[in-house]
Amino acid sequence: MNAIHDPQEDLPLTESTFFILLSLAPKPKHGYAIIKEVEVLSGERVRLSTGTLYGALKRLLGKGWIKRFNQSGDDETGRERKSYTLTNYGRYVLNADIDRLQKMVNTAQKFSMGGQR
Amino acid sequence: MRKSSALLLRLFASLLHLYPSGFREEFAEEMQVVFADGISESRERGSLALGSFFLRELADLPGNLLREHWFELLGRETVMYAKLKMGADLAGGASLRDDDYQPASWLQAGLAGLPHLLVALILLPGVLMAYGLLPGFQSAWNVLGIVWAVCLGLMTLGILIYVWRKGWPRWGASWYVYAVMLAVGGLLAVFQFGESTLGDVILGILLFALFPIGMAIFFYLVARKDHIKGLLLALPFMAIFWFVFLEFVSNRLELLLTLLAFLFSGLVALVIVRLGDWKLGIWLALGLTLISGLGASFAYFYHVEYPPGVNFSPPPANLSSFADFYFPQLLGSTTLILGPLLLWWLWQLGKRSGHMGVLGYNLIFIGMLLILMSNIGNFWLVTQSQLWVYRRYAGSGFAYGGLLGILLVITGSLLLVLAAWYNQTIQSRFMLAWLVLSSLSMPWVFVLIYVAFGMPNSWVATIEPYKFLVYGAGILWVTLTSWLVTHLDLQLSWAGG
Repeated sequence: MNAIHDPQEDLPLTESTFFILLSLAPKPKHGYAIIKEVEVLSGERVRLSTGTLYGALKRLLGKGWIKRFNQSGDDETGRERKSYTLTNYGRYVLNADIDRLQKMVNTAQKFSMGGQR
Repeated sequence: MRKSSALLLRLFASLLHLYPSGFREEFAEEMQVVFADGISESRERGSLALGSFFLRELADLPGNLLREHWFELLGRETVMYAKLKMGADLAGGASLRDDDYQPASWLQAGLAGLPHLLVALILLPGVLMAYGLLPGFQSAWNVLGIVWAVCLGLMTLGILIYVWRKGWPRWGASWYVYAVMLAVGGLLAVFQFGESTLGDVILGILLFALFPIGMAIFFYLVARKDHIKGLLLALPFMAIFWFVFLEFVSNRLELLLTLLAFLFSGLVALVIVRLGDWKLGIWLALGLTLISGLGASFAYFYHVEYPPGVNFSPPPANLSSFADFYFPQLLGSTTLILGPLLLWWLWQLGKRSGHMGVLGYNLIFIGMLLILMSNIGNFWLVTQSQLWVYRRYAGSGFAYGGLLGILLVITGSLLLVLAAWYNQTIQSRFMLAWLVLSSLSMPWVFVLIYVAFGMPNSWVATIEPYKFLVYGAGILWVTLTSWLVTHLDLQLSWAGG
């Protein structure tokens, strides 16, 4: 690849996309673990149905933000499951959105506390 | 596992069949495992939790189904999107879509050509009878012809259901236009048209504004995502476009030319899908409308047969009249092939050229949509005699809508040129020159398309002395644009990346 695409064009992420990517940030997860993690991270506001999750995963795979692999012994049954992990570019996009949100919060906090711009 | 859980799992597995086949093959197994996990955990929390879990899955299903079918229908969006977003090196000449356009099997290619070939087949007995080669067949054909047309209609419906189940394969696009025609034909057959009631007005707005806009956006979206699908959508129009003007041409010549146009459309569709080559497809589609138009224009002027009682003065059969008929229609028909692909190219350019580039693109997009809508609307107006009661004001509406579109295209093009020049997004000076030329020639190229549909006479008189120059510019524009859209990968740098 000769050039890095500017992630700003993909921002802001939708809430679901943001939480899916965030749930994969510490370590790879399989589908159901993503649903549960998104529920926890969002304070139970975002509850993904199976169809919504896999629609989103399909598009994230297509964009190259995540990748899929077989992970054996992932759960208590020891069976092999498909798991998902962030790609470098996916992590780059996620960090860019976190940075964007952070700046917004900083600005909002400064403004609301002191009324300064 | 409890009975209720097993039942819910079976039900969920059945519902997965409603997803497009590609999606199903990739994710169905995983989705069932995830759903089973959800069932298992909810059951531990009680019946209420289990019911709530299942209802949430059910409530989300229609939206998810619609979304996945929409993405499948539009083609390989995600693959192309991924290549773009990951910074494919356009300047290096790597094609964006070469991997996505693979040759198809003969069966798929045949299915792409089939609807046009079937129409040609329906016309064949009529042609043979008109030339005296099937004596005594007329009375039988009166019944058989209707049966045959009904079979084609049913077959179109069947094929649509099949392509839906198969995840909207590329060849299926050949059938979309016939399905739309079938639906709209049914609508026109049911409703009576007038100018008096509120219902008539609402129907008029639906037919002349919303339907063409919807068709134009559909054309654009499909062609942008999958160029071959876009070409397959446009092909039937290349055949039909010309032959609506042949009402007073001798019956046997009209039938023969129409049959040949559909036959060639079928063959072109077959070749495009078989080779998987959209670049060649553009030239073939342009060739199709060029040749079909020559035949139709020749017949229009030199083989007219007015039925007794028709009081109409035909235009003189000379080169000037011929050109006045042929070139505007030719340019109009090519917008269906080139418009969506040109927009795709300009989008690539616009988004690499900063905010002004994006603004320029957006203006061009709206302008081109208006032009496309006007063309489709005019086509609609001319082809459906039931709608001629609307001709007076709808024709003017399309004329001025088209003009507004042209103005937006000029403004947007100039902004885009400036943005591309400033950001050095285009490496080639030739391409920059083309954009300037295009901006200046667009109004003259397309203004003549609307002459027949409500342009003020004084404007027509102003253009008349220069019309061959305008026609020449139009042909040059079509040729250059065709070259441009087939050489996307060679012309853009990745300066915006």
